[in-house]
Amino acid sequence: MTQLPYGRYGRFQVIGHRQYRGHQPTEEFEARIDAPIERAIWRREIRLVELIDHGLPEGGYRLPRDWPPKAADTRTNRGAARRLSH
Amino acid sequence: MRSLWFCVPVYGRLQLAAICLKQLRRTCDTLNTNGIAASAVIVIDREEFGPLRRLIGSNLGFGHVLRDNQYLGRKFNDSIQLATDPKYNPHPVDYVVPCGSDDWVDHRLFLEPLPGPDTVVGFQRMSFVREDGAEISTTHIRYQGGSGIRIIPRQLLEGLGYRPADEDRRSGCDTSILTNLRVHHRDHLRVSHQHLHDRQIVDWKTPHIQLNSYMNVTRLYAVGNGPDPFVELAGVYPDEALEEMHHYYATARAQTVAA
Repeated sequence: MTQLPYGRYGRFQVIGHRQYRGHQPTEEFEARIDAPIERAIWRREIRLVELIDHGLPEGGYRLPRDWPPKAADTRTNRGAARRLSH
Repeated sequence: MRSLWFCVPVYGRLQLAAICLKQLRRTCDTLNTNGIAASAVIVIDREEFGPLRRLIGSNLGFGHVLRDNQYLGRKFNDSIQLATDPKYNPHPVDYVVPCGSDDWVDHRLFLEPLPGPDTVVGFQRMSFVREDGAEISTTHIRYQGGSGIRIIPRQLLEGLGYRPADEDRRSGCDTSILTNLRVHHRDHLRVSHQHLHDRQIVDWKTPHIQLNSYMNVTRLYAVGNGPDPFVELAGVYPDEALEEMHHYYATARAQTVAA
């Protein structure tokens, strides 16, 4: 099995005979992909139906007025000077 | 200049939210003059957006996301994603601060030095104002990460698709965000706490929609209280904001008596 994209969301279906996280057999549910989800797939308790990309509602958002401020150099993101080591 | 957005879901209590958002505008303006590019994004149901704008008289220059109120986690995620995801924001911010629409924050909490890219800053000391506006408590929230208001660097959010809360959460989103950051970053995540003074964050309780009542939070966390919030907060927050809030509670009390 290929590596699942941890951190992303998926739609899953319970395929075992027992409930999973309160979801009944054949029921579908959404969850973030993590190690317990991956183990449940290995145990054939659930299956991944599809990956889900949650995002902002189309046409339903707006950036702040005057963003970015003239003095701000936010493109450089100086906070990102050191990336996390993993 | 580093940048920071407050991420504010709004639902109901629009008069209170209007007062708090106007105070947040002052907070952002002060931060801007002190070297932090600060703004906010409001997440609100489409039907409430117009009434809120009419109460405030504008949108205060803040960004917004129109989203139904079904899941609070989704609303926090929307605001955090608009702030930090280059797909939606060509100038993504360095830090987000999830914040309630009934909170005031002291701008000095968000001045440099801001945390490194692996560190979340939380605040364990904060104050709550009782539903009638006649008492203020000092609380020490012993939970790691403290209150729901935290400074979160953008780098920590990237691996979670800039949507760190569980999408289907109706409450406990602060816990959800910290838990998911821990699961994703494991030992690489650090949490530090900052304490400026006991009124550094003020949560204004109202008799209406309330996830945690004043009685509940003070029973669990109070370490002291004061009789008059408006005396306690004078000099810490602007007179204009205090006058607006005083008027809000006085009106609410008068309406209660009349009913």
